[in-house]
Amino acid sequence: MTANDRASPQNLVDTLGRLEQGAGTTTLQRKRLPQQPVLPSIGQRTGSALSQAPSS
Amino acid sequence: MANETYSATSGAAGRAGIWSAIVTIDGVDQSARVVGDIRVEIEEGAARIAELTIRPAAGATFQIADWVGKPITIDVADIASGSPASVRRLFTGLIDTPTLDLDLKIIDLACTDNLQAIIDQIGAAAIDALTPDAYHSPVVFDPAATGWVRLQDRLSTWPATVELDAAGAARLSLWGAAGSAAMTFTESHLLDGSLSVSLSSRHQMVNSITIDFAYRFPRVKAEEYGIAYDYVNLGNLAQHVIDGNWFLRRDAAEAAIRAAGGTIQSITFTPLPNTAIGPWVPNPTVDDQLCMGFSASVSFDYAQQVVENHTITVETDGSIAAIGTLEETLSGALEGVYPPIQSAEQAILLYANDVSGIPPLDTATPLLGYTTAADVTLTADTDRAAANGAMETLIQVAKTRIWAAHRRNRLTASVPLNPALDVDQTVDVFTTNVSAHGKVARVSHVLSPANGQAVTEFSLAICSVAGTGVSHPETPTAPPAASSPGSSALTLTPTADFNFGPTEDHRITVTFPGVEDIERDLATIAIATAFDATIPEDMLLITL
Repeated sequence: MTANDRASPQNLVDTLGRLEQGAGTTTLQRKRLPQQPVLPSIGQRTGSALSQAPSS
Repeated sequence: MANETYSATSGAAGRAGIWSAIVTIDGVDQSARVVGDIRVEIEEGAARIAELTIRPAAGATFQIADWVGKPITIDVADIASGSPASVRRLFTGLIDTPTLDLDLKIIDLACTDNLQAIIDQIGAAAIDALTPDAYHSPVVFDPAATGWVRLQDRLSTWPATVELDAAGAARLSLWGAAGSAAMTFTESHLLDGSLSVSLSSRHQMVNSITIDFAYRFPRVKAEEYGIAYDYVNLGNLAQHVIDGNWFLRRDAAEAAIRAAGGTIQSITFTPLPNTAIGPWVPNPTVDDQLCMGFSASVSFDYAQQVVENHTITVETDGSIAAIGTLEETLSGALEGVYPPIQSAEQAILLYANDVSGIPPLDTATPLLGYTTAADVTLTADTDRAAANGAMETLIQVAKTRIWAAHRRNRLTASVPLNPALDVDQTVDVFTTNVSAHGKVARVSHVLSPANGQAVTEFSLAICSVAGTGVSHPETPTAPPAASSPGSSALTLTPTADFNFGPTEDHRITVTFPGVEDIERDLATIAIATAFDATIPEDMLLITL
């Protein structure tokens, strides 16, 4: 085996792959909104108060 | 042009080129120890690497510390005059992996320019400065990513790569070929039979990317009702008294409204008359506490969750027309950070009714007869600007992906070693059969001292789909339209009832309509936007 055999294209590709790894890899991820509780509906709003006769 | 040739490999003044490689390791010239080929590989966005073999002096001691991580430089020089001239740097880096062959007593050296580690060391600000036009959004990418990963995130939004030059300095190389080439190679430069073309497959292309982006956030709302109620008037006041009926206290009317959860914006009372009517005689001591009716404006506050479902289409129409639609999808989501809705609603209610002195974060401005809405104050990481930034970043990712998919065609050729060839250069190739113009995407220098050959193989990235001369317009990247808080008229009316009969409970009861579902339930708003993605059409004309 000669030095040139050792620098064969396959060896070179393997080395390239190891040294260049990571190029083009990003942290972009698919995301979805998490579920959220449904807000309660707001029905009729009623209020009452006692109307006491004023003292005079 | 002079750049097409290098005197050391092309010769000059009628003589052949005579070159020599100069290899230094840890500052010591080891050129005489090199055996076999020296290879230097340069590729867009990747570390520049070199491979070579060293045969140490007989009897030399091998120690790992002498090799791993040691700096190495590779130069090529013209030695036609007997001493090195026109010295050009091909590689600056470190020995990554030495491989020792005990039989042959040689050491193979795999070397790198240390691109990733250097980028990791320069910090986020320097990375951003290196890629000034790139986009970045912490909504889209990992906000904690630093160094090499952050650079890759940014480069995915802009048609460019970052490499180190031969001297080890970081640089940005735009994908787009320059208008005029730095070098024009003809048949007189190219090695015979070295020209080849590799075309991209259709299935590797993409020309239509749909981005689904959901943005959810709350809006505060207010509805303001007018309520008018009279249970007695001047015409029936006398009979009201004769029947023993009661009069309504003003504070009871206000208390009933508040008990309903309403905020009194304004209220006016119908006063009792100040003159006697039949059996009724004014009593100034108490009459101003009573009323014959009232007219009030009453508001209610609440909130609603809104989700904008953006569908953003990024397309290159000229490519679709040429090869059909090839689709990909991207997605993203952002939720506005705000206190829990019911806590926010309580804060508004308590403040409006003077129960709390702590003002709420946001309120809608009431308008009589309408439901009104207002945007709220979200955190800077989740507000409208953040959502827009995320969508713009995704649009840029889509545009860059489309461009990348269309530039996978390669034209490859070899010339006598030319150190000027690098991946930041634009090159023309003109032969009898081929005319091409493109940016260099890959360079491989191979120096073979044993046989005197020194060759540079280079590949041009040819971006093309519809043909030379066709233009593909671009829609500038901008935030898609946003929904805005609106107002709507109230359709139902409130009621009031005072039990004034002598045997009744003398309670005033007010009833306001419920909030309509469309104002309260999660509002889903679909927004569609389209952008054109441009790609250049690099020249590639081939005559068979």
